[in-house]
Amino acid sequence: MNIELELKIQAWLDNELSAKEAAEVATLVATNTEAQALAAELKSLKISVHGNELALTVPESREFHWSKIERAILQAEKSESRAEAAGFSPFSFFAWARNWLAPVAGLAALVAVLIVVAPSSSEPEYSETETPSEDVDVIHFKDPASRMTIIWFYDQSGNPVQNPGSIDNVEKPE
Amino acid sequence: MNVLIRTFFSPLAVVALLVLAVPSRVLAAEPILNVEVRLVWGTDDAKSPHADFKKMDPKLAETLRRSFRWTEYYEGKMQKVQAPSETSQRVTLADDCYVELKNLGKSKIEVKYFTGTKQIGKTVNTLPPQNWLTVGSVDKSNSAKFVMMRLVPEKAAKKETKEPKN
Repeated sequence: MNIELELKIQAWLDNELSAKEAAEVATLVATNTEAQALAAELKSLKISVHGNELALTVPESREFHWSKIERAILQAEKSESRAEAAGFSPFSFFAWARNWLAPVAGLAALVAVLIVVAPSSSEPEYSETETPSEDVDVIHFKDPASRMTIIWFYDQSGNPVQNPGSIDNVEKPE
Repeated sequence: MNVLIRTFFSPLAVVALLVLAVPSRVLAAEPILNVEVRLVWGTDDAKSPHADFKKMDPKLAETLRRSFRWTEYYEGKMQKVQAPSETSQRVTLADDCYVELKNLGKSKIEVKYFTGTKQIGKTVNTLPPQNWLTVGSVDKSNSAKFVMMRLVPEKAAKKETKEPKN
């Protein structure tokens, strides 16, 4: 007996066949011992499944059951947001990092570039002095202790600087 | 409305504002040099040559005394000058003494030093904060004139900006 006939016998037992097909299968089951045995086995199985199925009943109403699930979901959401506010949730750190870390890193990089590119506030020391007259000469003093630079213009006929060696980096007149 | 507020205060928006603000501050640095200028007399007289000149700070006087022969140093009233970039400012310190200051940028300042109508000399120097730049020469009656300049300390400059003089 092929599988198609086996399925037809099963469908016949479940009353799923048309009247014509049901009559054909009934004839087959009556005349064929193999078909008869299969039908008997399937019928027995059907009776034992139907007869021994456990009846499950929900101990509460449908509305109450779903409202419990809804309350549980809302409770979980509240707990998560409280933990985030208190900073205890590991997810809150990742959320913070996702929001702030990339922009802050970008800003830090920009500031670093600006520090490198921007002109430094401590420019290298520069000094250049000129006199319009050949009779006037100049001495350039620096006193690191008092942070003073002195540009002294003098007539070459008389130099009032009495002790230029006492100050560092003195350019003595020629 | 809520969306607008959230967008404005979002991290990216805050960072974008900072990005716009930082370069403008850096680029706007040092447009004006605030310089204080004073005239100092060097003399051997124990008495001030002018009523409005007072004995100068002993530490600074000692710096001058170590190198110049005059024993007494008197300073006049300090003047504060704002030197915009590439603009000359004349600062009259006495009837026969003035300087012309020019801010060359990058903390460089050009000083032209005049006595009477004669330009004695010109000097270009960097003027770092808290440093003095002094130009000087012999004056009539064998005394000396010094013009001392330095950047106005940052705190004082900020205070003056907040409380402009009437």
